[in-house]
Amino acid sequence: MWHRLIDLWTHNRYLLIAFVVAICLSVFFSARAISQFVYWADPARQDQTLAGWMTPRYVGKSYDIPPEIIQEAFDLQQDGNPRRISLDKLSEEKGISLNDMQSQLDVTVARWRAEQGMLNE
Amino acid sequence: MTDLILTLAADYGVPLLFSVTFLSCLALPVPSSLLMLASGGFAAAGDLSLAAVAVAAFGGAVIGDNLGYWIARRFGPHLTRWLATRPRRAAMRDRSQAFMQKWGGSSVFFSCWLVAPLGPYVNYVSGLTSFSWPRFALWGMAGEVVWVGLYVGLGFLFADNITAISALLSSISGFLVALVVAVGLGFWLVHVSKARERKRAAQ
Repeated sequence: MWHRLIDLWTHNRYLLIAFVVAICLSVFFSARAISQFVYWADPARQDQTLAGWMTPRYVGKSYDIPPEIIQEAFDLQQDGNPRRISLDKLSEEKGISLNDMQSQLDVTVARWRAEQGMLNE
Repeated sequence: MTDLILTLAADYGVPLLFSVTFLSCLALPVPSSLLMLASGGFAAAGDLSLAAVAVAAFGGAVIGDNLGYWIARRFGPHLTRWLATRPRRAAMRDRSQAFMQKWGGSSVFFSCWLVAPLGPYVNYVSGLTSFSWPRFALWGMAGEVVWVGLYVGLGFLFADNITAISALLSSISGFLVALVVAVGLGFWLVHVSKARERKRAAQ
């Protein structure tokens, strides 16, 4: 074992270094996958923070709320055709920041969830 | 970069997905896996049609694979002649040709999805070694069905948190690629070391 390693270090140094780097990378990626799995498995992290790439319908899916609540939170037209639009564009059109959209959404969703809770009791 | 590509996905949808899977199969550094996950998520939310997403991702990938193959096959001979000028390079070319004869089909298949970052290079090597095109095309299509099905499907299923699933899958994919490279290098190291030992014993 050792004589072989020394032999490789003398004659195929770069190949041996590449091999060790690949081993380290696979350990690193597996550790990262496990930590990400543990992090996201926590139900408290299920509501994703709003990001510019999301669409209103996608937000509805992520927060598990019906379309009316999304329309209310983002002040969208109730009768118009639902559009595929990124929140970036929407915030530009409406002139409100993503942070304000987040607070509006949080308030509306909290109220809706409270109502649902009462209905279920 | 991630947020930019996702915003583009919301604004341009299916045509963007087609272009990105196409370019990624030619080894251009575009985040195709992330975009497939997001498009699957948008399909689940009702913003895109699932069928259109699947067809576009598959079409882009298959066209990209085959273009890569034919570029290498068409312009490869110039490179092959250069490879043949030195014995060590010629030996490398012969070895890869022998490898493709033996393992070509499964290499093409698994490099499409299990170790997708290696895919474009396998396409180029296939063309370069004049690996049979019908075999390449069939194994490639089978692999892309799995790739597209896996990523679009996971995006669709885990639509409520695309950020989480994409972070997790990129780690898993990184792990698999590093592992495959490590195993390959390991075999190579053992092989050269044993060869040297035999040579010494013979002397």
